[in-house]
Amino acid sequence: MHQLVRASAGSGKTWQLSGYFLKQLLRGARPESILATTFTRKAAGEILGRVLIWLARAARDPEFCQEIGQAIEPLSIDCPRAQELLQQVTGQLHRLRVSTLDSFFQQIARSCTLELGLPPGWMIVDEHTDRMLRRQAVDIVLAEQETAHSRRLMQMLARGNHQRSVRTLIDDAISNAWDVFQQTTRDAWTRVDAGRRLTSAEREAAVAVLKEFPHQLPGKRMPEAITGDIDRFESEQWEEFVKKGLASALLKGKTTYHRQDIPEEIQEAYRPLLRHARAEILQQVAGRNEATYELISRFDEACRQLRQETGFTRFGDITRLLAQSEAAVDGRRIDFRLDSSLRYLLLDEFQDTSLQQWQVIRRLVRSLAEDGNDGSTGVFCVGDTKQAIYGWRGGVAEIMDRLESAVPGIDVQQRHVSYRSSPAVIEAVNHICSNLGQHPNLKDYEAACQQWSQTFPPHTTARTTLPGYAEVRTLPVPDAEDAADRKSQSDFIPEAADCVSRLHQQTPAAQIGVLVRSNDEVARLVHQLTERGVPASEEGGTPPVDSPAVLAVLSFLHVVGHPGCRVSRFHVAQSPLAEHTGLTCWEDDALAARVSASFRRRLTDDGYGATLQDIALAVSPVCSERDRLRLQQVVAEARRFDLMPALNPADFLEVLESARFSRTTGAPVRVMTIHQSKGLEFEIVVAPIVSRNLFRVPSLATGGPDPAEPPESVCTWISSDLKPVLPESVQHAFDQTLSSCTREALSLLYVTLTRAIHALHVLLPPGVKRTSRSAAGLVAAAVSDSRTEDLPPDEVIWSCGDPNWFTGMSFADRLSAEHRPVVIPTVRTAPMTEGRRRGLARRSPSTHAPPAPSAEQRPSRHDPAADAVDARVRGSIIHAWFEDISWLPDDVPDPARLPDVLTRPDLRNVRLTDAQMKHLADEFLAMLEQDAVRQTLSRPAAVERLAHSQIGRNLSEQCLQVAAERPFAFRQDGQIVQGIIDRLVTAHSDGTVVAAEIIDYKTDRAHGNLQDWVADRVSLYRGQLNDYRTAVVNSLNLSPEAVRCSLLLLDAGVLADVS
Amino acid sequence: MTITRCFFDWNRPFLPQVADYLTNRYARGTTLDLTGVILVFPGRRAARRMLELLVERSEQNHPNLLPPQMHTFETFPELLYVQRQRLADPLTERLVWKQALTAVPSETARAALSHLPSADALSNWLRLCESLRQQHQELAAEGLDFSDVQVLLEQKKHDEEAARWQALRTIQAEYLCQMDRLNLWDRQTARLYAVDQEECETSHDILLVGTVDMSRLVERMLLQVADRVTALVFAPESLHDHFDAFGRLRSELWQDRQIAIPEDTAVIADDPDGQAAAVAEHLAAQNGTWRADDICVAVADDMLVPAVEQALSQAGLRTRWPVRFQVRNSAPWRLLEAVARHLATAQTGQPGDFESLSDLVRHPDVSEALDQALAARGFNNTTWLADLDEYLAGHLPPHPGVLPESRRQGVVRAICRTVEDLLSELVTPNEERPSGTSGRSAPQSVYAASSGRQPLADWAAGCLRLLQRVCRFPDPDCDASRYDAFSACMAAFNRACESLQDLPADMMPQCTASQALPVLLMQTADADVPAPPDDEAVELTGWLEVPLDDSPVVTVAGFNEGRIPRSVTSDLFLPNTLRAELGLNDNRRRYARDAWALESLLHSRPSVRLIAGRRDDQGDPLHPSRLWLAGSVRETADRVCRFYEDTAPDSAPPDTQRTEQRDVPESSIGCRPAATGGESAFIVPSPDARRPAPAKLAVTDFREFLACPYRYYLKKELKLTAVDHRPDEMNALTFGVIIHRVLSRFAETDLVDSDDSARIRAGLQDLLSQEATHQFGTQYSSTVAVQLEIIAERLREFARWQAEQIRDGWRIRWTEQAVETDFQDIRGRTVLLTGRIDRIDQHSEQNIWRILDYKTGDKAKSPKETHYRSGRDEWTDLQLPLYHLLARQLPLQGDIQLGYMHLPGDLSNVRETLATWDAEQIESAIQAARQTAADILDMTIETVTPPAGNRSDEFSRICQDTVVDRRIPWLDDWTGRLSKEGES
Repeated sequence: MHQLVRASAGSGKTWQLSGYFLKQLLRGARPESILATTFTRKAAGEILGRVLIWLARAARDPEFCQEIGQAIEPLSIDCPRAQELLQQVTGQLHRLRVSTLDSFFQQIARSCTLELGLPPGWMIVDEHTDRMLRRQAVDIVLAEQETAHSRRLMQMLARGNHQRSVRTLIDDAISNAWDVFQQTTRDAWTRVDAGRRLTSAEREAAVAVLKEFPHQLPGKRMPEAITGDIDRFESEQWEEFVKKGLASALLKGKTTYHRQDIPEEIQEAYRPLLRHARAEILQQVAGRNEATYELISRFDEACRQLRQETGFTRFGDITRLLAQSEAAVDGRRIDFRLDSSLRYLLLDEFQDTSLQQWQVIRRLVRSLAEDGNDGSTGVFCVGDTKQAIYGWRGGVAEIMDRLESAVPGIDVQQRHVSYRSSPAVIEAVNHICSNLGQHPNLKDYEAACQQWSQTFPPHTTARTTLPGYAEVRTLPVPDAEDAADRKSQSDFIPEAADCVSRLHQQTPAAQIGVLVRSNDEVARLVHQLTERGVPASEEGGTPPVDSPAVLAVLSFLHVVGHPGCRVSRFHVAQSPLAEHTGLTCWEDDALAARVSASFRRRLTDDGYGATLQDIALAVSPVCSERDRLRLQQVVAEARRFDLMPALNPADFLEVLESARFSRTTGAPVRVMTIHQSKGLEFEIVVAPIVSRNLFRVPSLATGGPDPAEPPESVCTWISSDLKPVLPESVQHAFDQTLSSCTREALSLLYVTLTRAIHALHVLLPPGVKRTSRSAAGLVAAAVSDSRTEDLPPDEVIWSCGDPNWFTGMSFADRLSAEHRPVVIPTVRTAPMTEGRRRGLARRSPSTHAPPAPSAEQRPSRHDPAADAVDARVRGSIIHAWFEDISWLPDDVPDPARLPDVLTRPDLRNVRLTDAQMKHLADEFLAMLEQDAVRQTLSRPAAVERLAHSQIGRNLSEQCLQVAAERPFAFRQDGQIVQGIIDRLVTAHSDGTVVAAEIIDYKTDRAHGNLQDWVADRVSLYRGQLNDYRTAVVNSLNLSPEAVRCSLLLLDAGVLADVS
Repeated sequence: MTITRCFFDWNRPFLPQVADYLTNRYARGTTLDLTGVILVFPGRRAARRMLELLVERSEQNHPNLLPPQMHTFETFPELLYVQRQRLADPLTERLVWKQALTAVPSETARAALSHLPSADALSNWLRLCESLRQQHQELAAEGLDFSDVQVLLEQKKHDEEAARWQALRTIQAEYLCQMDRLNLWDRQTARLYAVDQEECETSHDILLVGTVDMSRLVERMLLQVADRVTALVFAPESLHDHFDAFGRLRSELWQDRQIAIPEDTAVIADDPDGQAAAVAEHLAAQNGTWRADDICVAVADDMLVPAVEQALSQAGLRTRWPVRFQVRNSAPWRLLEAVARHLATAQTGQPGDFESLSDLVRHPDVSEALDQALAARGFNNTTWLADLDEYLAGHLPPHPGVLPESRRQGVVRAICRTVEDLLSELVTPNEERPSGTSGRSAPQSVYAASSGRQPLADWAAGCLRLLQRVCRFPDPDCDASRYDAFSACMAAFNRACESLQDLPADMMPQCTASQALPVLLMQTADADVPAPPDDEAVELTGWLEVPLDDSPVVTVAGFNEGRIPRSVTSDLFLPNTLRAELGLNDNRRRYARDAWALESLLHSRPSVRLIAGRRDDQGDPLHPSRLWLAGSVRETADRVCRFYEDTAPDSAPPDTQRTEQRDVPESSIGCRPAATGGESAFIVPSPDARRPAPAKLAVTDFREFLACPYRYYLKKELKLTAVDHRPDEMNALTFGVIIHRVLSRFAETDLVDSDDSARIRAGLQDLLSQEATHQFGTQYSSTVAVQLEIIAERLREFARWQAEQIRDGWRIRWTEQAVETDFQDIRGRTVLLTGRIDRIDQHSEQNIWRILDYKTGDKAKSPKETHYRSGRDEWTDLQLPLYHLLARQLPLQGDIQLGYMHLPGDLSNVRETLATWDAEQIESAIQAARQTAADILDMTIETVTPPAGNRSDEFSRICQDTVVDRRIPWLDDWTGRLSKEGES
C-alpha cells in the first residue's frame, strides 16, 4: 500500500513513518529493502532509534506490544515476534538504509562513480576548499574572456551600474543564480524578447503627436501627467516613464486616469511610446538575464573542470549528476550496486525536497509504483506543505502534490490532530493561521496569503486536558535613554528579553524555546538574557567572533600570514596573546617578521590544532567561559583544517570567520532560529516577531507551468512596477516566485507557533500597524480588531487559555546528555621501574651510519657511465655474493651462477642490464683477488687474528665456525637493538665459544687519501660495529676483548680493525 | 599433507604463550635459535611485541637468541618461491593498465568504465588505473580474474553488469599481454604461477600466529609446504570447528554466535569528548595498579584520537599514537604541493601567478631560503614578506613576469628570482648549470622549462633536488620530530624515484611539471610519519591490533557500528553479495574477525572497557556496534533501550566513582570547559593618553573623528595600517586614487578648456592608460583590466560633463591644491589645518567659484547626506565647510560654491551636486569643527562606534564590534590626553 500522509505539526510524522517501517518488517520485508530518508542525519538517527526502541520494548514487554498497536494497525505484534525482528534488524544494522537523501545519493554515486563521470576517489569538498575552488573558477572565467566583454557582462549584472568590485558582483551572481542555473536550460533564461525599438524619427513623431494633447484637454491633472510622461520619455527615463502617469495606467490596462476616461486617441498616441519604453527596459532585462546565464554557465564549466582535476565534489553536484544520469539511477542497477533490492521507499519531510532530488527519487518512486500495489513494494511519504521552510535551499513544496500522479492510487491521508500542543496553543494556531487573509494591505502577497489561510485545515489536539495559554502581545516602547545603544530603530530585543525573563521566573524549570529569524538575533537575545541573569542556551551556529579571545587569535593568525599588518600587530601586542606569542611590540617590524616566521614553522611542522591548542591553554586563565568554549571550538576546527592545511595562516582565519559553532549549554531557555527549531518542541514558546520584512526580496524570478518541474522562465528581479512590461510567462514567473516566498514566510510563522506544548507568547513590536506587510503586521491583522490601525504598545492583543496554567505543575529535568559537563579524572599509574616493557623503541645499528642515500648518489639518467649501478643495489648484490662464501679458497663462486643472485627475495625488484650485471660480477671477482679479502676469508688468517685475543690463543682451524647474515636482537637502554651481522666467525674450545670475529663488508667507494678515508670509515661505522660486538658478547657470553670487529672495505681492499 | 593446528588458551594473552611455545620447541641450552623459523602475523605491531617477548625470555634463560624471520601476509609468500620474472611496482602496474586501456577499442573501454579521463590528465588516469589494479589484485589473491566475475554475473542474469565485466576482462587480458611484453609480473601473478607450477618450498618452519584471515592463493601456497606449517590459534580447543585447517575463521559460524559482554564492560558516551573522558575514567579506576605500558587504548575511529589524547593529557597521562601524521602533512611534501600549485598556474610562456607564489614563499623552508638569499643580495631580510604584501596589494601584478616600478620593485624582483632559482632545481641538475650560476637567470626560463615535457623520473629526481636544497636536513638531536617528518618524506620520494628508475623506457610518461608533480605527490602522500618514541607514554592503537596485544588493561573507544566491525556498503566494482559469492573479503568475514577479536579480548584481559558514542564529532548520530547487540535477546533489547532511550551518558561503574577530579583550569581547552566564570582579559585596548596632541589636522580627520574617536586614534594617531589577505582587485582606495590622478593630470593638459567631449574622452583614456601602466605595469590581471574598463566608462561620462561645464562657462583654476591655515579650536588652541582640494572651478562671467571634491564611490550621496544628520541635528562631516575656510587662503573673489563631483557606478549620476548651505550654516559647521578639533586635541573618547550600517572595517577586531558584551573598562574613567598642550 502506497501512502501519502499530509501531517500537520505535532501530529506525529516520525511516529507514522516509524510505524510504516515496522509494519513492513512485520510483513516480512528484509530490513535492507527499506529506504527511509529524511532531511537531517539527526532526524535519520531518531527514526532508526525509534524503530529499534519499539522493537526492544516490545520484545520484553507485552503491554508495550499493545501500545504500539495503533502505529502498525491492522497488524499486531507480540513479544516473540518482536524479539525475532529485533535480532534481525540489529544483525543487519550496517545494511539499514535510514539516512538523508544526500547520504543515499552519495552511496549510489560511490558505486556508480564511473558511470557518473566522477573522478575515482572523489570526495565531498569542505567549505574552505569549496571557497578556494570557486575563486579559482572565477579566475578561469575572467581569464578566458575578453576584457571589454567581461566589462559589459559586469555592467549587465550590475543593472547598468559600473560597480567597482568585480569579485563581489560575480560572487553575488553565483550565489543567487547557480542553483537555478543547474535546473534550467538556456531557453528558460531567454524568455524576454525586447521587441523592436522606434527609430529616432519615429520617436520624435510619436512624441509630437502626444504633445498636441495637453493643450486640448480640460483640467490640469491629465495634461500635467501627459507633459510629465513626455519629459520622462524624452529624457530616456524608461523605467520612470512606465511607472508613472498615464503611461503606467495604460500599461496596466486601465482606461481611466484618476477616474477620468483616457480618450481613445490619447491611448493610441501612447502605444508606440509604451512599446518603445518597454523595448528599452526589456533589452536591459534580457541583457541581464543573458549575462547572468553566460557568466554562470562559464563558471559552472570551470567548476566541472576543477572537479575533474581535484576530485572535490559538492553535495549538489552528486544530486545533479544523478538527476541527469538515467543510467546510473536505474532501479535494477541500484539494486545490484547497493547490494539490496529496494522495495520500500519512506520519505520524510517531503515538502523540503528539491527539484533535482525529486528528479532522482521520482524514478525510484515510479519503479516501485509500477511494481504494483500488492504490498511487495511501498512508497510512504510524509510531509506538510505548511512547514515548507527550506525554499531558499531549493525545497519545492509543490513536489508533494506531484506524488499523487507519480503513484497512481496512492492513499492520501490528512492528519491534523496534534499530539503535542495544549488546546490553548492549538486555538491560537487556528485563529492566527485562518485569519491571515484578513490583512487589508497585502497587495502582491494577497493571493498567496488568502490561499494559505483558506486552505489551512483547522487543527485539533489529542491532549485536550493539557493546561496551557496563548497570547499575542505588543512589546513596550523602549526607553529613550537606551535607544542609542540599539542596533536599529526596530531593535526590540531588550524588550523581548524582558518578557522571556519574566516567563522564566514564573516557571524556572520549564523549557522555553525562544524562536527568532536570524542568528544575529539569537546572539543578541542570549546576551540580553545573560545580562538579566537568565541562563540561556544559544543553539544553532554563529561564528566564534563573539569571543574577544578568538578575535585576538584571528588577528594573530593574520599577523603570522601578513607580518606587515600593523592593525593586527597592535591588537595582538595589546592583548594577553602578546606574552604567549612573543609579539610584545607592535611597532617592531623585525620582531613581527620573526614571530611570523617562527609560527609559520610551527603551524607547518606541528599543525594548526596543536599550535592553537598551546596558545589556547596558555591564555585560558585570563579567559571568560565563553572565550574558553570558543577557543575550544577553534582548536577543534584547526584539527579539521590540519587535514588540508594552507601555507598562509590567514586562510584559516577565513575559515573561522565563516564557521558556525553553537553555544548550546543545556539551559532551560533555548534561543534559536525558527529553522533550527524544526522537529523540536518546548513547554513554552516565545516568538518575538520583530523582523521588518516578510521575506528578503529574491534576486531571480523563476516559474513554469508546473512548479514541480524545472523552471521554464528565469528572469532577474525587477520592481513590481515594471512587471507589466514583461511577457506574460515571465510575469507569471514573478507571481510564482512571490507566492512561494510568501508561503515560505507563512510556513515559518506556522512552524514558530506550533512548537509549543503548553504556552505560546507571540511578541509584536510596539506600534505595529495592521497594514504593515510584515510578519508582525500579518499577525496583528489576524488577531486584532479591524478598526484599529496601530496597535497600542505593551498590551495583550489576543489571548486564550489560563495565564496561570503552570500553577501546580512540575517540569522534568531535561538536561540532556550532550550538555552534562564532562569531568576528566586524574589517572595514576604504577611507576615504570626498570624501564618500559612493552612497546620499546627500535634501533638498528645502521642508524649510526649516515642517512639514506640521496638523489645525488643515484646515477642520473644522464649519467654517461651506462653500466653504473645504484650504490645501494651494488652493495646488496655484493653482500649477497659474499654471504655464500664461508672460506676462501674453498668457496670461490662459479662466475656463471653469479646472476642467479637476483632470484633472492630481497633482490627481486632489482633490474640490471646484462652489461650492468657483468660489470658488477667483474668487480666482485676482482675483489676476491685482493689480498685483504683473501686473507680475511682464509682460515689460517682468521685463526691468527683470533689468536691475538687472549682467550683464543690456542686455536686451530677446525675449531672455527662461520655464520653469514647472523641475526640478533637485544635490549639496551630501553630499546630493542636488532640487526644482522654480515659474517661472524666463532672459535670453539671444549664445546664453548672462546672468541669471535665480526666482519662487516663495506662497498663504499674509496676516494682521496686512502689512510684518511679508512680512518673516516672506521669512525663512521664504529657505532654500528659496537652494537654487533654487544650482541655477540651478550649472546655468546664472551668478554668484549674476545670479540674482534673489522670492516672489510672492499673497494679499497683493506681490512680495518674497529677496536 | 595437513597443517598442524595448535590452540592456545584465550583466558591468557596470546603472544606470551606463543613465546613460551617457541622457547619450548626451539631452545637448546642457552641458545634459542629461531633462524629456521618464519613467524607470520596479522599485523606488524604483534611482530614487534613478539620480538620483545623473545628478547625478554632470552635475557632470562637463553642469551643466545637468534631471532626468527617475522612477516605479515604482505611479504611472507615471496619467501616460498623463486620469481621467474621481475615484479612490477605499483606505479608501473598502473601505467600498464593505462596502456591497456588505450590499446583496447575505445568502445570496450567505455563499456567498462563509461568515462575516460582526458589525455593530459595523468593523475586522473593513474587514479582510475589504481582502482583497476586493486580490483585485479584482490581477485587474483583469491585465484580469480575478471572473467570469473563475468561468468558469475551471467549465471545470475545480470546481463548489463556482465557486459561491463566482459569489457573489463578484455582490458585485463590486454594488461597481462602488456606485462608479458615487458617481461614483468605483478605480485599476484607471480604467486599464482608459483602455485600452479607447484614451486612453493621452504626449509623453514612456518608458524601462523593468530592469522585468522588469509587469501585462497596464500592458502594454496601453504598447502604445498604444509608439513612445515603450524597454525597457532588463539581460541580454546572446544572452538576448533570455528576455525578451518589453516586456523582461519569459519565466518558463517561466527555470525549468530552470542557474545557475552559483561554489562559494566560497555559504556555509552555522548560525543567524542565524552568517549575520551570515559577512557580516562576507566584508566583512573585502575587506581594506579598498572604501569603505563600495561595499558592499551584502542581507538577504532581516527577522528577520536585528538580528543582521547587531550583527555588523557588532562588526566596526567602522556600518550603515543604510532602515526604522527602522513607524509602529506610534512613540511617537505607541502613545499612540493605549493610548487605544484604555483606551476599549475603558469600559462604558456608565463610564470606562475602571484597568489600561488605568495603561498609558496610562506612555506617556512622557502622563507628561510629567501632570508638568506635576500640578505646576500643586500635586501632587508626581515621585512621582505611585508614588502611583498604591500607591493601586491598596491600593484596587483598577475605574475612575476611583469613587475610595475615602485619602491619595492627591487625586493619583489629579488624574491621572484630567488624562487625561480630554487625552482630551477626541478628542471636542471646542478652539474648541468652554467658555471658560476646557482640557477637560471632568465625569469621565464624555469616556467618555460617546467611546461616542457620530460620523463616523469626526471621530475622525481628534480623534486628530490629541490627538497634537498630548500629543506635543510634537520638535526635529529635538536629537532627530532622535524627530522622524522623530513626523513619519512625523503624516503617516500626516494622510493618513488627508485620505482621510476626501474620503469621500462616505453612506459615512462613524458609530462610537464604540473602533470608530474601531482602524480608524485599522490604516490607519496599516504606514507606514515611515525611518532617519536616516548618511554612514559600509554600506547594508543587501532582496533585490529588489540587481539594480539597482551596489555592487561584495554580500553576501546569508538565501539560503534561501522567502526567495529567495519562494513563496506558501496564499491566501485563489486557489491558485497558478489564479493561473498566470489570468496573475497566481505562484511561477514569482517564481522567474524571482529567477533573473534572481541571474544578473545574479553577472555584474556583482567580489565576491558568498551566505549560507544552516540554522536560523532560533527554531531551526527552513531549506532552501537552489532557485536554489543549480539547477546541474548533480552540483553539486546536492554542495550538498545540503553543506547537509544537514555539521554544521560552512562555513569561510571562503581569503582570509578572514587576517582579524583583534576582541578586544573586548562581542562577546558580541548574538552568541555569547566564551569568557571571570570571576565575576559581580552579588552578593547586603552589608548595611550601620554601621546602628544597633533600639531596639524587634515580636513578629512574631522570626519574620521566624528565617526569614531577611537578608530580615529588607531588610524590617524597610531597610523595603523592593515594588509589585505589575497588582494585580487583594486580596493576602494586604489580605485579612487587612480581616478583622482587621471583627473588631476587632465587639468594639466591642453584639454582642460576643451568643450569637445570626444577629445576629452580620448585624452582621459590616454591618461588612464598611463596611470594604469604606472600602477599596474603593462599586463594586468583580468580583474584589474575589467575595473580599468569600469573606470574608463565613468571617465567617458565625466568627459561629457566636463565639456558641458566648459560650454557653461566654467574653467578649472586649481586642482589638487594644497592649502593650510591656522585653526583655533573651541578652547583657543591653534593647530595647523591642512587640506588638498581636488578641484576649484571659476565661472568668470558670474564671478562664482566652485570647490569640488571628486567622489568615486559606487553610490552618489549628496553633501547634505554625508555632512549632516538632520534627525540628530549634528554635523557628521566637515570637509566642505572646512574647504570653504581654507579657500580663504586663495585669491577667490566672489561667491563660493561647495560640492561634490560624482563619478559613481550609475553613470546617469556622473555630475556635480552642490551643497546648499548658507553662510550661517557654514559658520555653524566651522564652529562644530572647532569643537571637534578640541576633542581631537584632548583625545575625547566617549564611545567606540562600529562603522555605519553594521559593516566591518580593519579595526572591527580590535574594537570587538562582534562581541555583544565587549569590555572597554578604561572608557568609564577616560579623561583624555594627559598633556593638553596649547591649552589656553
